[in-house]
Formats: sequence, C-alpha cells, structure tokens
Amino acid sequence: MVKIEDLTFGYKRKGLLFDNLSMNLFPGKIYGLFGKNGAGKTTLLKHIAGLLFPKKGECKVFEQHSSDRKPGVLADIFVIPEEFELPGISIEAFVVINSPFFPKFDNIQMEKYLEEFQISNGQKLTTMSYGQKKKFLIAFGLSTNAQLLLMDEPTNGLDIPSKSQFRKIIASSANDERCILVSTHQVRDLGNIIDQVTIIDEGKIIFDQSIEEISKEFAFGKIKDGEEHEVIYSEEILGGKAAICKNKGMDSEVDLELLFNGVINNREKINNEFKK
Amino acid sequence: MENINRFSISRVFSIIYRQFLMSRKPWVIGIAAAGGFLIGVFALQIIASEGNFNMNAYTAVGFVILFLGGYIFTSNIFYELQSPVKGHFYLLLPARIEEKLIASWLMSSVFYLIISIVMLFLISFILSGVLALFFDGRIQLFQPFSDTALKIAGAYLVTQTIFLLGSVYFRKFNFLKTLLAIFVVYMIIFIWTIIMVFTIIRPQDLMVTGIENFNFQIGPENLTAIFNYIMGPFFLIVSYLRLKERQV
Repeated sequence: MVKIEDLTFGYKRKGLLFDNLSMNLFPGKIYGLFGKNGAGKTTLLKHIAGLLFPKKGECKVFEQHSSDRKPGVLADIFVIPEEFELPGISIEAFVVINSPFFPKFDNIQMEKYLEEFQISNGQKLTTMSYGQKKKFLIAFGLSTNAQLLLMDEPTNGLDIPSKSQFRKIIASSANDERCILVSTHQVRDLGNIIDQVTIIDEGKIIFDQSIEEISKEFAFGKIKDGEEHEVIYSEEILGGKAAICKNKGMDSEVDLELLFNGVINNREKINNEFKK
Repeated sequence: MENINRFSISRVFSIIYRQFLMSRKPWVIGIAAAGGFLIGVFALQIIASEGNFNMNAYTAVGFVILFLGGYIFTSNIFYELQSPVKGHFYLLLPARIEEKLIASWLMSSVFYLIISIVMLFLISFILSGVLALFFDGRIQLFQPFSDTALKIAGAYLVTQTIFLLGSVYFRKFNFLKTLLAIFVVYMIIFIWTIIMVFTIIRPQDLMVTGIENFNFQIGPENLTAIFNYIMGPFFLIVSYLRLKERQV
C-alpha cells in the first residue's frame, strides 16, 4: 500500500532529517509509529500524504507517487493532523461540503461515530473544544472509508474516557483492506490496538516488528535483584527493574514504553534477537 | 480509480460551493461595505448638487472599487494555503490541481465580475429612485454592456491573474506582496528599457532624427495583443505550476 524507498529529506538550514529511509506499509494492519521529539514522525506522515516531496528517493502510495496528489489516491487517504483549524461552520455543513470528494463516504457511519464520541450534530466547529474537534475529525476520517488513515498524535487533547473510546473505535474500524498509521509519543495510549511497532530515529527506521513477533521473542515484566533472567534491556523503577527478557514460554503484554526505551538505548541488541 | 482521476466539472462546482460556504461571511461583508459606500457617496453627491448625478464619476469610482476589491479578493482566494494548519486540508482535498485552480479563477474573475457589475447596476437603479423621489429627476442607468464597461471588465480579467499567482505564491500578506512584486518588476523593466534605448539608440541620434523615425518592432498593437491574449494565460499557467509544487 505504501512503499518508501531511499527517502532523503531535510528542512532548509537543518541538515538531513531522513537519509535513505525505506519502509513499507501493508493493508490490514495498524502501525504504531514511535520516535523521540523531532525524529521526523510528522514529516514522514506528510511525505506519505504528499504534503512534502522527497529530495531524493521515492514515496509511493497505491503504486502512485504521493507527490502527484491524484484525486484517486487522495480519496483513499485521510490525515488527522496534530495541529489543525476547522472552519467556522456547523458539523452538517462541513460534511455536506467535504464528503462529495470522498466517494466511499458513509453518512450513517458518521452519525454512529459522532454518537459514540458524544458529539451532537448541530454544533458549530469553532465553538467545540480541541478534544471535541479531534474526535469529530477522527469520525469524519473513518467515515470516508479511506484505505489509508494517517493519524498524528490522535490522542493529544482527548480526555481519559475519549482515549478508550478512540481505541475501541479504531479497533472496530480496522479491516483487511485498511491500513492505519498512528504516530505518537504517548505509547501507552495505544494500548494493545497496534499490530506493528515502527520506531524512527536519526533519520532511519531503527525498529520494525509485529506485536506477534515481539511477544514471541520477548517477555516484559518487573524483576528483582537476584532473580535469574536473560535480560535484554532493563531500567530502574520503584521497587525493582522493568525488564525486557528473552521469552522462554512466558505470556506477557508488550510494554511499548519499555520497548521504545530499549530500542532507543540499545537498538543493536534488541534487533539482533529477531535475526537469530 | 482512473475515472476519479479524470477532470470533473462537477468537482469544480463542489470546490466553488465548499469555498463559498466556508468564507461567505467576509464576502457578504465586503459586498455590503462596497455597495453601502457607493450608495452613501453618490446619494450625498446628488443631495449636494441638488439633483445632479455624475454618471462618469459613478462609473469611474465603481470600477476603482471593483478592481481594488477584486484584487484583494483574488489575493486571498487560496486563503487556506496561507495557514499551515488549514493548508493540508486544501492540498489533500481529492481533486485535480486544474480543478482547484479553475474553481478559484472562476470565483475571483467571472463570478466576481458578474456580481460586481450587477451590484453597480442595482446601485444606479437605487440612486435613480432617490433622484426621482426627491428631485423629480432621472438618470441613465449603469450600462454593463457598454464599450467602456466591457473594456474595463476585460482589463480586470487579465490583470487579476497576477494577483491569483500572488495568492498561490506568497504565504502571508499576499495582496501587499503582489503589489510590491509588480512595482519591482515594473521598475526593472523601466530601467532596462532606458538602458537599452540609450545603448542601442544614441541620445544625439534621438535629438537629430526624432523618436518617431525609429521603426520599433513591438508597436502599441503588439503590446495590446500581449496584454490581452498572453498575459492572462501566462499567469494562469504559472499559478498552476506553483500550486502543483506547493508543499506545507
């Protein structure tokens, strides 16, 4: 669905942000794109959407260069940006003027999502809070039935109940044809909805593994001094250590935050485990 | 997917409708302000001159407002692109670049012109009513299809494409930056022409023979043709290329 090859890009006077970055995104998966501040998560999303053009290399979506911004491709992409401004019109008016551009837009779905997010249809967009606007945009994006959904920090500004609603809605909207890429640094917000963990750092994809593979290779948990484990990575926490250990038949939930820290601090050791 | 990628006139009108609904408030305020200004000024003129109405002055002031308003309106036609938090919605709107450009051009040229000329006609109609009611006089109504009106409208259609390019090209203060760019380009051409004239034709020759004896290749007719038929399409094409290359 998305094929990025040797993408090189940098902003003026800031040097290169991406240096020969390559990655692929496949349908039927929810990707979690993680990275430190300034790692280039938003920039990568903008390249996929065709909002930025590569200096070198290529970025293809549905086998078309994303920079061509063809209507057929754009109708199957929806971006939920971190920062946005909605026009001073009502929800209904927004839907009326924007939905004709998305041939697969479903009004019934839209109503259902708005109801789940507890947003009333008659509201004016500019009078809504940031969190409500974000929920509205997520509802609109999902209702376009776009095959590729790109979300940049979607849980920013959402209250605690909305975060769990968000997880529920995303999980239920996933299907075999749809690919969802969620870029965030709030790894805990994604809970267990993601299928693939992709970590970007220093202009490259430094980690790209499915949750299934990670669970197979690693066990996550708290260990105490003296306990015998084959520790891959660990960090001090209150009352012991949080550790990524080699999985010897143990069932544990993937701790995304710990995994992220582990990859950032010792990428080679973690990646080597998948090569064995 | 191939079908959706083809040029679609219905999408052009969807873009126009979208843009109209999103920014109708400032447009209505602008039209009301311009209309109110014209009615106010010329009603006062009628009262001050005890029933005389100067149609030439009305046409001149009306067209100055039309041009100025049109240039400001055109400069902000891609207003979504001027803001990074709005720009991505516009750029990612599933429509061809040509459709987006044609929609914006139609709105700021043809539709704007029709609305303005209808407004000038209606105001002259209202002023005629005022004149008939209070001074027992009559005025000739504004003639939208007169030679002068058509020529001025044509000039607007050509010159507004420069501001259309300015709207795509600049990210902030589009109107003022376009004016500045026009001034700079004009000055460069002016200085270059002076230099060329004094390089090719020696000043002493000019004094002896007189400038009328020189056979210039680009005469006034050619300049009019360039203005009428080349300038508008040229700026539209450049605007298209700029819009195509626009990033956030």
